Amino acid sequence: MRWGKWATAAVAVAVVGGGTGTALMVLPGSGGVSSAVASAAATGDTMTMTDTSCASEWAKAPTSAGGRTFTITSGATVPGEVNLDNAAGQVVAEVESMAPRSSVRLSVTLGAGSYRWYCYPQGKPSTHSAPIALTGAAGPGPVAVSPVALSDLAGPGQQYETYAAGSLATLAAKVTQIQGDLRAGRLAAARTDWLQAQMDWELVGASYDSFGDLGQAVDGLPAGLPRGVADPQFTGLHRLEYGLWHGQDAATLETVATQLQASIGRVRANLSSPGLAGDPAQLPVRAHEILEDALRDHLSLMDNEGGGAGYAETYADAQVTRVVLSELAPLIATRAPSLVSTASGQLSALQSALFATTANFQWQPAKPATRAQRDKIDADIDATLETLSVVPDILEVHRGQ
Amino acid sequence: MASKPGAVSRRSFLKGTATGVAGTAVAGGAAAGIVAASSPGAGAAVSAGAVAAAYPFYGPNQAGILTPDPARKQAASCVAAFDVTAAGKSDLAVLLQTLTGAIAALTAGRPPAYLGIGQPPADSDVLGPAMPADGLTVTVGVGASLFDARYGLAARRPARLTTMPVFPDDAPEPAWTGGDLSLQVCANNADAVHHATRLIMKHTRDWMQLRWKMHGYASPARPSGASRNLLGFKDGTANPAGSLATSLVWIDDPAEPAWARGGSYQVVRLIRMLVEFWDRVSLSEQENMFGRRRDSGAPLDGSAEADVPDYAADPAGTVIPLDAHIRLANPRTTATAPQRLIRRSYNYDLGVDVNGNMQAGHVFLAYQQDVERQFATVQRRLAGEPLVDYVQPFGGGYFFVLPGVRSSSGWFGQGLLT
Repeated sequence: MRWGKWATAAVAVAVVGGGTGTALMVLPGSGGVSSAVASAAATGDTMTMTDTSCASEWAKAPTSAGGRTFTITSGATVPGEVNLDNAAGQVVAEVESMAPRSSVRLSVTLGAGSYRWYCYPQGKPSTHSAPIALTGAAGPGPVAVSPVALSDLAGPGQQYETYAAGSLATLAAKVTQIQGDLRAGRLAAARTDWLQAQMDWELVGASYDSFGDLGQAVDGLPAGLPRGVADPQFTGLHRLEYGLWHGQDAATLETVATQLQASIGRVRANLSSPGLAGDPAQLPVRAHEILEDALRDHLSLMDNEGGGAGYAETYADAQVTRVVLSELAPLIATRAPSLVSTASGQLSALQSALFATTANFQWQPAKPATRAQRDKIDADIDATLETLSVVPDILEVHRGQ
Repeated sequence: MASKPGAVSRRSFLKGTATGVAGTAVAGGAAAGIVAASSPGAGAAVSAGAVAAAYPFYGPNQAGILTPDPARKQAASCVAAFDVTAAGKSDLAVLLQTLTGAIAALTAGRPPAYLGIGQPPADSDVLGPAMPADGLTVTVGVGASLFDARYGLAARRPARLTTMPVFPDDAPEPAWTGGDLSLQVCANNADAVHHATRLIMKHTRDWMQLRWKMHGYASPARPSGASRNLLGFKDGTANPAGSLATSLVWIDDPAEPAWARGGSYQVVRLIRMLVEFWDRVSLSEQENMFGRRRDSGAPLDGSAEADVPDYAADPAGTVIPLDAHIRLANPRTTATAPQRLIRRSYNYDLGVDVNGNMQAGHVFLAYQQDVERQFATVQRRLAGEPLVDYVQPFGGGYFFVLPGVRSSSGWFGQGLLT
């Protein structure tokens, strides 16, 4: 794990990578981490990418395991990516984008074993160096990552899209109910139904602005709008929330709800677009960032327009995070075998901590959590997020792949 | 409390200098100019060059913008915004004269006179009895709201001075936004910033009240080049310097009122950085958001911090994404060259957020001769950049930095009010 260096005992999620569960992820630019190891090791290896060759210097480079500092130089005529792979074909280090004629320093700790360089000059066939075996008593090397192809994510992406479509149907039905509440002047019922609708939206998994402008129309905030809560561009669930908790009349809010229903319709009609749910490469990010959004916008009160639903929203976010994780579980399992079970336990703890603030199974917007309750919620979401932050990294589709 | 008739008032020291009664010591200090300290204080780490003990106060432009220049800015800062409570135009003049006297004395390291035992001490002694200048600069600006009906100044408002608009990714908090008057207080050490702010407020209580203030610190070079922000990236690498900076900062447009020549538009943006979230993002994603390597500060298409990105060679954004911060902020075209501005920003650490996260971020400070042509145009181009998920601009304002005070008989805003 990336923080294993300081807290080995706390490492709950081992990432597959040549048995290096406690190693530090070392990628280009981590100079602060690497300076100590670099000083104790061979330095100054230059590896060159050209249009037709990759790190030809590797064959004559020192063969000592341990801290190594490479200067990656591009002699290619096009941009490209350079990876260092281990014998299992896992990526140990990368330079994601290199311009022609540029050089980048890459410091990495390499355990004993065989390594080869891969170069991916844009628009040209990929090339690689010969494998070279490094020997010596080195400490654990960095976590290596098995490459992911976009096609690996297609199935999970389709599962998510189907799931999101179902969640949006549930949301649309709830908003129909709110429209009925408002038509009949039942504002108290509308407030209760609003909370359920907001949670239904969270369960779609798009809460962190990941459905673009169409999503913003459903769930946007007044921040950033010239006229704030009075701005005509402030629409959707939070606009409804604002009105319901600021004494606006049912007729006004019925217009808001009708507009909301239309916005939900547009999200449903465009769900397969890459800017909404249609890009499977975004699914690993979703596994991490749905809950980041809960911390940033819900638990910070940033998006509270009167309903005080931060804990309920976060509870729903934890729920949809489970769904996304389950869709990705087969891909995660081969790369970080215990991650899903660790995250699942942490999500359960978070949901329990959130639920502890309810009374008679009702969320309590007006009653603040105790300090101890709040500390537990914050600790649980923070810990979960540290675990989830690994998911986009181990499931990133690299340009070279 | 009223002073005894004929006695030295607790205020008279500063007011006296403001009206030119006791300018000698100040002028002497100013004539000495920049005095290099014999040894930089341990807490006085600045990014480059020697720490100066004092900077000149008198001149056509105020200090604290290009004096010292942003690459050598003082290590500690405070930006404070005030609501002006002066009853009328003459009281406003007294406020500005008092500020002139106080800042002239403080930046020259000239302690107030002994007042006797009949009143509280003239100075807090936070800097000890010698009250060194410690590299202090205090830069005075005025907001658009000062040009409302209260002081009859509407016709004299600088041509481009407005209240700061809400930009698309802002999360404005009124308590942290706006103000009639701004002070940018910078010094080599945080105690000198505190001391100066406190003494200035003591002498101006009738006429202005603190609206918000944010303390900041400059990181030393780690290990070289521009100082790093709290996202770990070097910040300010491409800041214009020298004569280019001069040509972009000071008001010289004939469309501006004559009194405004030598002034500058100041933009303050208080930007929360969600550092916990940021630390959970992969390095390559971080670097693509900025467009630079995190370790060296080199643009992604280069090898060293000073390398100039070549966007023309990368029209599709293969190496430096089209929405990378540095690419949107400064596209480096002929058309966008006049949009460049001077940044003199600081880091801040404030406390704890309601969700248990650290409250930390960036005090963005920019100077320019046309806030619409420069900052606002750049900021609109940055709308929706990937970085916005990790930062929240929540306060600050637009201010107009008054022209400098040219001599000990002058005062801030003299041209505006007379």
